Amino acid sequence: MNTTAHTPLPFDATLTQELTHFLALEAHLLDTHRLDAWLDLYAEDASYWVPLVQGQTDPFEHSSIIHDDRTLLAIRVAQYSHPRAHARLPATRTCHQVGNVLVLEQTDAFVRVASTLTLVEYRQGRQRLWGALVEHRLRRTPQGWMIAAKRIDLINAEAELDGISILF
Amino acid sequence: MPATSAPPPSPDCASTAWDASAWVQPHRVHRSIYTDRAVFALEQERIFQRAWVYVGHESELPEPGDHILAHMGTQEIVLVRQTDGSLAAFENRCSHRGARLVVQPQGHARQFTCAYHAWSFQLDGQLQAMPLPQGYADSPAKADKSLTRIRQVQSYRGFIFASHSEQAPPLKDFLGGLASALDNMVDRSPSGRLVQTGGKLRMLYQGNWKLFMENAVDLVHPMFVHGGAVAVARQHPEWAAHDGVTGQTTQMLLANGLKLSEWDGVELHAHAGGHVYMGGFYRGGVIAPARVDPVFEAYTSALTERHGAEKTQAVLAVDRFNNLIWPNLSVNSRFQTVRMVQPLGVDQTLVTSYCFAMEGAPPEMHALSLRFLNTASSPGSLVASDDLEIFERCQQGLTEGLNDWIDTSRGLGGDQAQSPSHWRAPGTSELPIRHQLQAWLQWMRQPA
Repeated sequence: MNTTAHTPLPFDATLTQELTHFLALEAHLLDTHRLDAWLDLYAEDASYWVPLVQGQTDPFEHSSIIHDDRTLLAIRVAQYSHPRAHARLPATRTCHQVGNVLVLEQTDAFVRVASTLTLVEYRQGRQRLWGALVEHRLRRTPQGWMIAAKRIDLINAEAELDGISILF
Repeated sequence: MPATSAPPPSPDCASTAWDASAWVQPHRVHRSIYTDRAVFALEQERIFQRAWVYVGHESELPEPGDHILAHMGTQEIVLVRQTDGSLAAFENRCSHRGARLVVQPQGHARQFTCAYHAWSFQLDGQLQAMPLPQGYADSPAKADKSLTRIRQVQSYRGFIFASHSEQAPPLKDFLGGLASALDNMVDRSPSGRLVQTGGKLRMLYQGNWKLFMENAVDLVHPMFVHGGAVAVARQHPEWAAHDGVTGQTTQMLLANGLKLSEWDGVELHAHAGGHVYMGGFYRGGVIAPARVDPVFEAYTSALTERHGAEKTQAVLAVDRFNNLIWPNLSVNSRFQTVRMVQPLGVDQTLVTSYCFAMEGAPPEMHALSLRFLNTASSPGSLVASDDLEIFERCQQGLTEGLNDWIDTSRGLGGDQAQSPSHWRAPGTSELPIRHQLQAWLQWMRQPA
């Protein structure tokens, strides 16, 4: 990861508000268990990536915690909703708090936007707290923004992790 | 089972009178061996210090001074490549005040220096220097201030095992019938070399370590525990034919949905020492269809250059899935992956999984190993997360209760002795669980 690519663009109020709203909407769909609608935000060629180490550059030559293409993401969503998804019974409640929304790159076709995620998860009497640096690559379409890639760098990616049965 | 039987007494580590055989019977096992802290403490002493425990791979520390952290049960050790190329290990504790000496999981050093009072140690653990040596002139303990060496460290074809017992059998004898699992992984490499690369996945669960080892060779659970993932994959059979990550993962999800009669086509093999494997797995395309593509052809031809056609065919025909080298290693030679089990407490276990690149094979082969690992052994895996959930439910169910016993009798009459050290059973038998528990019993009954 090179640091230049992470230097935000100068503040653009309209764009920032629009993107902040979009990211809040994505989080809201997860927190209200509307996983199919959440999946609809992802483009057909989208990737959803949770790297295993900080600064990981490649999901093919190195292990990842999660590396899904759009099809695998659809399988994940369907499995999470299945009555025999034991790790999801009872369903996990989440609160995704998205902040620090900064535009990193903008062209006519797409934007790259950085944000931070603080996520509280509750299930079976147990509460877990996650923190992550997130990067979205969003595509402009006539229907609005579509997610072309989402990268979630958990701050504890290298730690010993319990089973993950939530979406970040 | 009668729920009222009196629990056997808790083990007393100092006592030789404790009889573990009351806890492990041919058809059942007492729940305390999964939940009792005194039993756990005794396991650390009698199993994880005495048996050969897998601690790492030679490719992780190729050069003198290279070192990695590893564990023998709850004991953290530093494994170090010596100047003469041999391997040594010592307890990761400064001999002075007890501070952890090495904190990086992997590194290179010319010597080890404690951060607390700068006692320094050679690669072999000998004390090199300390401040104020004259202050120890009258110390009765001045003779040995070196680090505590682990008594035995040996490697079998690159796989490193450690034992803190002088009485441990030779490593080759210990591996016995399951040395073949490591042989097969090495033989699949066109250069005969394996390199650990691509990171390590670390999954934690709140349950006893034996639950993972036993589940890894339980073929009746997949269709139930992984039923959700199977059902989803079945709705989209066309995905299994996709290239890349989708196809491979979907195939693996589907494979968990075999009918019980189909699982019986898998053969379970148990060898002396609690080592077990599942054979006949990839037959008929189960898990991994026979591959005909340019990558696999390039790989096969590189392998043929090394072995010749006949041996190449034999090496590739080995169709085992999980190979367990008891107590702490699960090997899949077909996909060059290992899973290493590390007990953290009686009710907490860490499973570290990683894969090897085969030097001389097309790089795409390594990508397949990574994907296999990601689907089967990541904390984010649809398969593994349901397993971890079940382990935790088992631990919760076993911790308190009226019924002290776990039934292990499925297929009890069907164990077939192939030789005095090798048994076989159909895929749905609990032979591999019984067999591991017998190994447990043997180690735990050794005198203090």
